[in-house]
Amino acid sequence: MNALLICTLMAAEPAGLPTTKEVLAKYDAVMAPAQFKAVATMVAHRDDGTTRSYTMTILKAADDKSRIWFQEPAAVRGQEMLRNGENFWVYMPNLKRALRLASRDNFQGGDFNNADMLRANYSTDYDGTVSEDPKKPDTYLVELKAKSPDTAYDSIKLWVTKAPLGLPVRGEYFTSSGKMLRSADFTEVKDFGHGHSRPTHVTMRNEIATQRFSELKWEAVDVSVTSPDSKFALSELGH
Amino acid sequence: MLFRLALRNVFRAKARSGITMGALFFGVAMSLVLSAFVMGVGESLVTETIESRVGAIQVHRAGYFEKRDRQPLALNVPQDAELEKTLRSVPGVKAVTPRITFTGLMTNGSRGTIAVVTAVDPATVSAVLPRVDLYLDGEPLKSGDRNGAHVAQELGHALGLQPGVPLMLQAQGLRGRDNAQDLELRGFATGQNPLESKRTVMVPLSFAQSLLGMQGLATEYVIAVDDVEQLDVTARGLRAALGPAYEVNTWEELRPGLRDARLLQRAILGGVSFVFLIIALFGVANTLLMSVLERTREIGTLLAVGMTRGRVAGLFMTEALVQALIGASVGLGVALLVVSAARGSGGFEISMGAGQGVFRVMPILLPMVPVLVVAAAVIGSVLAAVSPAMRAARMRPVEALSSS
Repeated sequence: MNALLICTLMAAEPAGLPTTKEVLAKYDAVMAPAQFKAVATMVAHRDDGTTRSYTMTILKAADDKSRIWFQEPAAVRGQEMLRNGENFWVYMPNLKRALRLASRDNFQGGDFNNADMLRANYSTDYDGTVSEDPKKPDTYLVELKAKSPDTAYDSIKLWVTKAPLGLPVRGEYFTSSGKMLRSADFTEVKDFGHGHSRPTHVTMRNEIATQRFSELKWEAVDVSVTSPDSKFALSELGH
Repeated sequence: MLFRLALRNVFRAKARSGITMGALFFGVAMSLVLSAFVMGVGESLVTETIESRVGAIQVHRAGYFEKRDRQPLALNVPQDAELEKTLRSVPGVKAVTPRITFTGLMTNGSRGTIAVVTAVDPATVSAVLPRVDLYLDGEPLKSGDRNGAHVAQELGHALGLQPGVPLMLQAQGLRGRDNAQDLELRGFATGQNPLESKRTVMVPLSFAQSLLGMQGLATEYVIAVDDVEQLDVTARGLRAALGPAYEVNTWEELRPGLRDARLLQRAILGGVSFVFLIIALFGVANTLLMSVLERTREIGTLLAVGMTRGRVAGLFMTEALVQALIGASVGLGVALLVVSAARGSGGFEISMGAGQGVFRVMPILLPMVPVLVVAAAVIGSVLAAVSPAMRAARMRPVEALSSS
């Protein structure tokens, strides 16, 4: 039924609009370049008014290989996260072992989930339509529907810039019951060189408990870094 | 002849006999009343556990308890008539009800906290857990209720819940994806356990199945039995009927802490009762010894007129037996009256603190307890009389008659 609806909507896409495939390819290239090394900080704001800040180094190679090293706070220093294919692990230095994670688990208890951080690849996971949004004339509205029930969200509404194409402005993430689970605002676009510009400040709000939100700040991104596959082996965690 | 003489001696020295019998009365009555009330607390906890939350027996998919931390929903059971028929066919099974237990984020729209959620089938739950709504302040969940919720009182206060305040539950479903749905507050559960009061929520099974993508599935079946004393027999029958694909656990296996606490409670109770009886028996021994010392000339006379030393010793031990029987009987009677009165008035209530409701305790006197206590008091009294009786029997008649 959903597939039929999407096909119908896609067929109805007005001429002159980019295709969903084009928009998602641009979005993925901006938010999850094929390879990069980055330093980022996530600040999780809890509903009791407390905050917790995590500073991390992120390394990505190919579409399905990512690794994160946590530097701050002291409680998680030495902790690592690894995605290799569809498998996610967290390495606990005090246990000296890696534990399996689900892609949909919360990332360090914040409002991003592990898939948001390590598996942002909408071209693979979602189908959808592109349309104009009269309320945001500088953007295209991309309405996405999950291809399988294994993705983090059932559906997503994504607003991306028309020029340059594909820079995200806002995202709304929905459950299968149609309730908005989270929303994200993407701001402060910065050019990191090598032709890579991206929003450096992402505010992810929990729409079920609105006093909860998390901020992700990208401080440095280098898309010229290449990494050997051996860096993403499970046995490498902790080294 | 010896018994009649002992009886006359007991009633002749009213004050001394009164002290002896009073000590035995106190020991027996206190032991029995204390036993009834402490046993009542323990059994009330167990009954409440069985009838309001845990159930007598639970059936899960094999391996559920090993994997539930990481995959709480993966090892599920079908909610179907065939499985229920199999469960009901086992002798001793009284009723069955499916449940889903899971954790989620309970929110009021702006703030949230982790909740431990139990999803019950309103149509069948009361047959298995008749006291499920014992501490409910509000409306019970009814058949057909799609999104009602009973929220533990402290959890409700923490979220500022009241009519009109939105209530949502977010949880990871069977396939791992987050889902969220609206709930409507039907009432507060004023549970007696402070930890549970901060975390627990009860929702209809159909709500949880929709939220979690578990249509036609449950995480467990909870089972009521005809006779709790035959719990292990019924559990064995269920294991045989279900085979290795399922695991069957009794409440004692599911709540080992409560089982151990009950055993410890019984051991402590036995120790305290023993101390009460020992105190009473020391009283018996002391007054009998005083009796022997006061009645030295009388003992000398009895020996002088030909009573054997054995019969003299027997006389004092019979006196102890008479006193023990009278004291213990009165103690038993008073204890039975106190326990009957307490049971007749519906037991007694223990307040669990502000906003925590009350815990009702019904005193219980197991049939073997009065038998054991009275037997211990009587036998102990006779044994306590051995030393004074032997002292009386060993007296020389001439010296006894000449004593002042």
